[in-house]
Amino acid sequence: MIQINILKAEILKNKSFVSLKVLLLFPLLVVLLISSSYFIRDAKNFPNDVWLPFFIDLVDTWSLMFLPINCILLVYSVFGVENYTNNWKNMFSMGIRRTTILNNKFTLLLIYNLLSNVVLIFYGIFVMLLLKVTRPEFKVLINFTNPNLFIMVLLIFLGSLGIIIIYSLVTIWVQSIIYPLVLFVFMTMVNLFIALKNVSIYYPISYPSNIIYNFTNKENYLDFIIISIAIFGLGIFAINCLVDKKFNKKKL
Amino acid sequence: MNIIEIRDLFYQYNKSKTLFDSFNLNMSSDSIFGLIGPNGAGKTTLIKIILGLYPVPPGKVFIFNKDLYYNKNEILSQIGAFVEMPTLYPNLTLFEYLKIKQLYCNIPIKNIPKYLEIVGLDGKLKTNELSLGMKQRLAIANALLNEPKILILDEPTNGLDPHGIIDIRNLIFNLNKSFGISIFLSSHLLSEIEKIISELAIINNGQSQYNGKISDLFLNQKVELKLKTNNNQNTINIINKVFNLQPFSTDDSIISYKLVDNKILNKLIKQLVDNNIEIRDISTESNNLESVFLKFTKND
Repeated sequence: MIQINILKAEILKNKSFVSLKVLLLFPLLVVLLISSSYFIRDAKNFPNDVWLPFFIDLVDTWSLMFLPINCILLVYSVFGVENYTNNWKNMFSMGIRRTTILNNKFTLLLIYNLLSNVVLIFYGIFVMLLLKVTRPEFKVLINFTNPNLFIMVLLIFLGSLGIIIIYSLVTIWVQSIIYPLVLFVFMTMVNLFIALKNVSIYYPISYPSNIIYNFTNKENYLDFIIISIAIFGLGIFAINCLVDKKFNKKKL
Repeated sequence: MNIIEIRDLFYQYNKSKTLFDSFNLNMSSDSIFGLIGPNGAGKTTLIKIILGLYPVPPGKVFIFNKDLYYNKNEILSQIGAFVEMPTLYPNLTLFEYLKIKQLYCNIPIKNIPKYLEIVGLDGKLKTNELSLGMKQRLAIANALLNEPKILILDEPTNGLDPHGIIDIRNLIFNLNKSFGISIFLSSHLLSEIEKIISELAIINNGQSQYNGKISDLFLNQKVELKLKTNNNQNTINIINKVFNLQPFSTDDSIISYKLVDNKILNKLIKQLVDNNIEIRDISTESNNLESVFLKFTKND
């Protein structure tokens, strides 16, 4: 059960940990990286509207490199804070069900993750407005009603659910940030290899699951949404079972 | 009435290591209960079992006369505990730190200043500004926040300086006497625990070697009497004749006796004086918790 009070407590716990900084700084970093390539180049290189291409570049870079690290840091912040403070046993002895504690932590992760994607798009919109004002020679056809923008946010968000599950599992199990980072490097290399070899058409939102690739390549959003949510749901169920197994048998 | 009762507990880490076998333990309500045992005896594991962190079958652990297996969350909501001093969440004020549990357990917010005052801490301080003793007091305030009937503390004086130990001891004593909270604590510091507990359990080799009131523990323990007189042989004869006692040692002109209790001491001295024996030195040594503990765990 999701409880507002528990979510508030979790936010308070993370107040000075890493999550808030990650939420604001990571998207900013990507936006600065991508927008710099527009600001320093001649407008002649961009004869058409740059609004949608800019966001596609932005989402491409974000989902390949920064989103996984963003997820790792958010997971580390929400779950790792208990590892760091050695507090799992005190959490589990408060008379609250373990599943309630874990599910509220996952809810917070989803909120943080969605927020970081929304922050990314907001930064992007701000940069495009800035480009339009400072470099009028660029064609920036601002269109807030273009559904592609919202679909992109939704797809990145859904695409990251699998990553969150994998890193949550690793973070709870091994209690160190090193292993998720190593896993990130490995999975990114595999992903790039697949993209370079053109085994399937690379689509950034597909990271990290190959199953999702195929559905997104067909632009079958409904399947993609169903599979993402199913992976997340099954992942949460598996983690709840594994956490019980881990904390019941090993020394806390 | 027993507030915690463990019946015939069997618990093993794995197939090769059995920690508790036919283990029984009782703790009375309103008592300060001390759990002592050598390293690896299973003190922390027992606390974790009581807190439901390690599951055991039904019919083994009863708290408030309810089976922990079937009523875990209801029971735990009436217990306050800290197991092995946790690191505090960084950069929070103490008020914010306690607010986390207040939000989690839906506790009235007025309890935060109340318990901060009881443990003598300022809510505006930051968690990273605290000494070890202050951290322990904050952890106790956190455990008290839900107004528990039992407070379970694992090594509450671990690593503290003498002032810190005295502070925590007084706090525990006060919580028991003034607020009627039953306290279950484990500690390595026997001399320290001896000063406040009313009941104890000594555990060793998976068994409870002693479980009961601390006063009963010393009831049957012998008092050692050491005497030095102007005529030791005469003294031995008189004591033997009147009290039917034999010395167990006569080293360096000191005669040593083991007395069942020190109630006969006055009569014994009077008898010697009446027989013109000049007592040059006399001392008694009662057993303390340390010597009793060593006796119960001597096979280690």
